[in-house]
Amino acid sequence: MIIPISGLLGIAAMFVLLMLGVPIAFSMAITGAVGLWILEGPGPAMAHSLLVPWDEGRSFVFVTIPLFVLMGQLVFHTGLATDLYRAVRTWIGPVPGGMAITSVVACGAFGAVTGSSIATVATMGAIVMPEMRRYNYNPRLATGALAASGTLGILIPPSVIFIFYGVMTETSIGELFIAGIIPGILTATMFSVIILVRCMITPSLGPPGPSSTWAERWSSTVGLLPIMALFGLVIGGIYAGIFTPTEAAGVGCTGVLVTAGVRGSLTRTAMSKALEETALISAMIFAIIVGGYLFARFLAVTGTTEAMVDVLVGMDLGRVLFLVLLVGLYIILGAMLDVFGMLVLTIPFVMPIVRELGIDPIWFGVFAVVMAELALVTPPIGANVFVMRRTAPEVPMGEIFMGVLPFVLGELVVIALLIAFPEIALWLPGQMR
Amino acid sequence: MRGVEGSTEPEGQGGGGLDRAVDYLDRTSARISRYMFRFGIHVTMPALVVLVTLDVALRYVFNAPLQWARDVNGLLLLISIFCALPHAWDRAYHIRMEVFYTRFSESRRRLADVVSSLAGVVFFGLMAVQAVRFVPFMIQTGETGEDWDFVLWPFMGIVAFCAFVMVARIFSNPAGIESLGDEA
Repeated sequence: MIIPISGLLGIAAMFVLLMLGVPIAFSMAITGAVGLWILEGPGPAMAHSLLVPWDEGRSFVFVTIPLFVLMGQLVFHTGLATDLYRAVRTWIGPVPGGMAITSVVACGAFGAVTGSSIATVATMGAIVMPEMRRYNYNPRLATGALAASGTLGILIPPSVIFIFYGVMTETSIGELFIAGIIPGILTATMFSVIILVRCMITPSLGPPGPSSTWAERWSSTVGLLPIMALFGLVIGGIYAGIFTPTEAAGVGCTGVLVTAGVRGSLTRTAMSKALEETALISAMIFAIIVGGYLFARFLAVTGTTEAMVDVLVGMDLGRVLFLVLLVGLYIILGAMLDVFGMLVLTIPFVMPIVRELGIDPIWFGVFAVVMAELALVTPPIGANVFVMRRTAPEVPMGEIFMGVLPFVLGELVVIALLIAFPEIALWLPGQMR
Repeated sequence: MRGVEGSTEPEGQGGGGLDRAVDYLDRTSARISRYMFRFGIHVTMPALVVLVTLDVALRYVFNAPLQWARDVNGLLLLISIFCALPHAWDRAYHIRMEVFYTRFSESRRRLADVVSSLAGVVFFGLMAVQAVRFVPFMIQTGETGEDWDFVLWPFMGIVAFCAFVMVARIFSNPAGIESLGDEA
């Protein structure tokens, strides 16, 4: 089957706009709207331009996005992470590279109550980096470990990227969350092992942290309880089928508010900042989703999606080769686009092929999020690296990117394991059904 | 318009009526955009959290869920998002591919900004015009929510208004650069 010229022209026009620096949402929306205008006339084009945002803007599923963003922002601005870090440090700190491994575990645990990698790096970086400086940690290892560990924020549920993927593909957000747990733990373990092995070979990279008494360990573990309780409430509630993701998000927000209120850290400034960031981030995500939908409709009308699926299926690539090609594509796109842009650009093309090849959309969601994790730490965009640089201005950007490299390799191993053993992601959601 | 260099006259002086009109549009739309944003973050967004939690509590604790909660949640979300859209533009929250943009010369960057603003103005303009056209239709048909017997046309009116404000903000700040600091 030949790919329609109108579709190819549309794709080319959108890429030109993207390269000119036109916001991703506008590039996709205007290409979709103008394309529909040319193909179907002004009436349908104008109707789509309104009805897509009107319908999506009132969608109960979409309510999940601002609520989970708010939950993460509240955790971020009310300083719940400090106790978490202290508790983890008393247990893991004394091993070689202990402070860096602490940062991995603390980022993973922080990711369990916030869906944002940027918030994870910014929060944990500010707490852990001064400690690692004090213990003379190698700056490359310290910053690399923190920037990479921050990506756990989007793999360990709740995750804004999972919600975004779920909304775009109409996949169960609850199952996506549950599917992210084991790969998230696997990634955190992989990162910890990398640090441990490197620090055992070269002890000067990351000396052991301070040792703690058992009494200190148990008393500091109390600091973990609010985070564990919130995670249990939100993710446990979804897993047990008590809450929908939207309900869980609302309960989670209230849980953070109550916890922060009890701790006395719920200030007016923190609340205001959290709401402000939430509204701005949600508006940005909403615009991208609307743009993506319009562009996908245009491609569907031209028959491009169908033709591309036929071409790719006709090539008889098979599941593994298709996924390996996607890994390459996502690494390239991740070097040019933000995570949301990367996903919204590829999903309209990739999802039909994924379904055609019999790949589970839940599994693919995990795969896409792990690829998004890579994009967050690879140059030239690497958003986590930029945030890390703000926390450690004395470390050059190149050093941070070099520091991240071993973790990128570790992430690629995780992807290989996911492809070889899909059950890593699918076993836990399978228990829900 | 912001982002245009080379002007020898101070903003708002000289240049005739068109400049004054553009300046007025900029100041007025920026103010409205901030008010809308504040309304969103102080009223509709907290209301959304409260309503979702209240509905969960009533559903699971008292077995008496609010039948209209989903409709109202959707409308609160719609207002929150649309109220934040223009301000998100002014705070440079809209994601773009900056790999090439940051390497452009000043003149190419201005051209890219014009293309960006044109894309935004056309898209949100289409949305605004269509929403205005839809309001009388919705009044005529008396369209209401699925579970809540409340007319929806005022919310369509809000969408139209927000989309017009967005058009004005994109026109006034074509580069989408952060222009309002932390005023909100």
